Amino acid sequence: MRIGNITDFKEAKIIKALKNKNIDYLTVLITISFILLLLSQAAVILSVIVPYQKEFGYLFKYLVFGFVLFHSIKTIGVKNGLFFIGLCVIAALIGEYGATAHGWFYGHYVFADVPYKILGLPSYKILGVPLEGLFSWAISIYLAYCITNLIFRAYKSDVSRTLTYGLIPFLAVIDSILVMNVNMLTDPIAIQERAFYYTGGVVGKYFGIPAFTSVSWFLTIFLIMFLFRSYELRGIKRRKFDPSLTSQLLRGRTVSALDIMPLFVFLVWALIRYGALALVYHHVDLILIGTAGMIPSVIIGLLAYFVLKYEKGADNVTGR
Amino acid sequence: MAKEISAVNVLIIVSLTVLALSEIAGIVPTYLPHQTAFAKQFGYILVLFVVFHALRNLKFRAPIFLGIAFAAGALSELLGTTYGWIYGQRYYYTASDKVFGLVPLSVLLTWVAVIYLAYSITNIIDPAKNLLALKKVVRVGSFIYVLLLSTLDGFLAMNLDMILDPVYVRSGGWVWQDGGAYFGVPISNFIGWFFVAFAATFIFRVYSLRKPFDTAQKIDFIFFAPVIAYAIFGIVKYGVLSYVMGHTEYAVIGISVMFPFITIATLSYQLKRSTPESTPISLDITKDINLTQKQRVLDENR
Repeated sequence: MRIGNITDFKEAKIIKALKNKNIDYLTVLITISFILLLLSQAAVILSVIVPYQKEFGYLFKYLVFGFVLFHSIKTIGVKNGLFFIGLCVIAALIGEYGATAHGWFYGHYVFADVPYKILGLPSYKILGVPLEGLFSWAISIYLAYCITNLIFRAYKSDVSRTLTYGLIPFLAVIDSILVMNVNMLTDPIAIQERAFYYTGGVVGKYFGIPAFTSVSWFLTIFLIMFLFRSYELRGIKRRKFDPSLTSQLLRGRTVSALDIMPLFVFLVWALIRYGALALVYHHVDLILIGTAGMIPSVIIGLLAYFVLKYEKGADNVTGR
Repeated sequence: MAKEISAVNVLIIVSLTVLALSEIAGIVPTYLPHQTAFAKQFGYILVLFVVFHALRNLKFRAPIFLGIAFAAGALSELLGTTYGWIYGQRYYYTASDKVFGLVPLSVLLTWVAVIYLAYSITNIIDPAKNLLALKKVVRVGSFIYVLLLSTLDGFLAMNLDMILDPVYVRSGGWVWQDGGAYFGVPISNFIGWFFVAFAATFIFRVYSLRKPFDTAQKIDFIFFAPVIAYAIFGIVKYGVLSYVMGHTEYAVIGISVMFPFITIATLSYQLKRSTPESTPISLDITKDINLTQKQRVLDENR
């Protein structure tokens, strides 16, 4: 389906806006949170000697959330960014509440009361679900969304003309499988840490987790991403290239550090942090599963970035 | 425009269909005569498919690629079974018919299939259309790019083994002398799988980068066929086997680590297919040069 009423003039204006190298406060915030989250993780796993090292390490999740918040506002707009995070949090809350209260879809489990690691405060729960767990869902889904978008743009940079409702399920499936791979590593670690446990003596075959829960979460994330991506495409079509940046996909072949940062955050957030924990629990097998599941997507993301950045000649040659 | 039907295309389609039928025969009662014997030929049918596909994809260089893949697989197996090298520890096959009394022929041939499937799926995923342009912009860029492509090849092979090895170990196909952390398989085995596939394709990719050849091919169903073969081989065959064994966790792991390749390759195929002209794969430098010349002529005429 072609998106009509898009003038070359408007397109050129957006590309010019994107290429504008002026650094705004959001870019500064993204960069600061990116550097701090790397340092925070390094402080934990490399035992870097800095003052308040422990406390700094505990801030990691909040720094990643800050990165996601600023990055989403910068690349998909305030309204879309908040809508995205809100949608993920609400969907995760419904899913987790359904499981903890009624045992729907994901098996019956309960979240343990983990003492809050800063200032000794208790962890805050909504309907029996830890708040930071809900935000973790939003983080994983957003990072997967960024990686899928980067890969898609490398195949078809003229998204405004080529993105159709027919392609949305493909993109949503890729988003979902990326998040599923994060869960394949993080859930067994959470079980090890007794952050949550299955009731009724249920011991799942996958490191204590029932195998069907992965499928249930895959379908949940697919639904979230299908809804968001459909909403996003509708927005692109209606707004007819709103220069207020309604989608990462409209960045075309313009790439910057903003596009590659989510790849590294994804690696640190899911693989390095939980890989280090897996090592602590002597589960080298989980490191293998995490590496096999996540590294290929990151490599494809790097290839996509490489192509978007350097394959300018191909635009003229192949008409892309 | 009339569709080009060549003998090799027919052979590819026939072998892929027979491969699917062989898998069906292995999992559901079909009342076919010799059903079990037919199902057991799965590996050989897969190799036939790979040979036909390589002939179309790589043309006169197909024997070079298949030779490198066979050599890499065979060498690693012989060193692994004899000295415990490459895969971290010694293991042995329980089958009676073995080459040099060490490795079954079917295993050696399967290596060719695995490495070729990995190579061709990476080419489907590869977003680059013009490696020459990359080469012009960054001198070492194309080399790094090829390194990343071969890394993907390595992961494609390794991830397949993450379901294949536990299933075979559980069913007694081969035995690891000291067992291992991953369902009785040593972690070093997977590193070995990664490096065998990586090394074989890296040699070929670098060779192709230095001596470019015309590998342009139509973005049609046959271009995509390796993804289907990989899904049948990796997910359906071993997914069903692990389910039958009562180890659904193998299937969950297999699906989660192989599905990203399958979905991204499918997306890539969908998008590349919709471009007006056929898309060359990334190492098609000859074709790119021709296109650049054509573009120059067009520009001059303007």
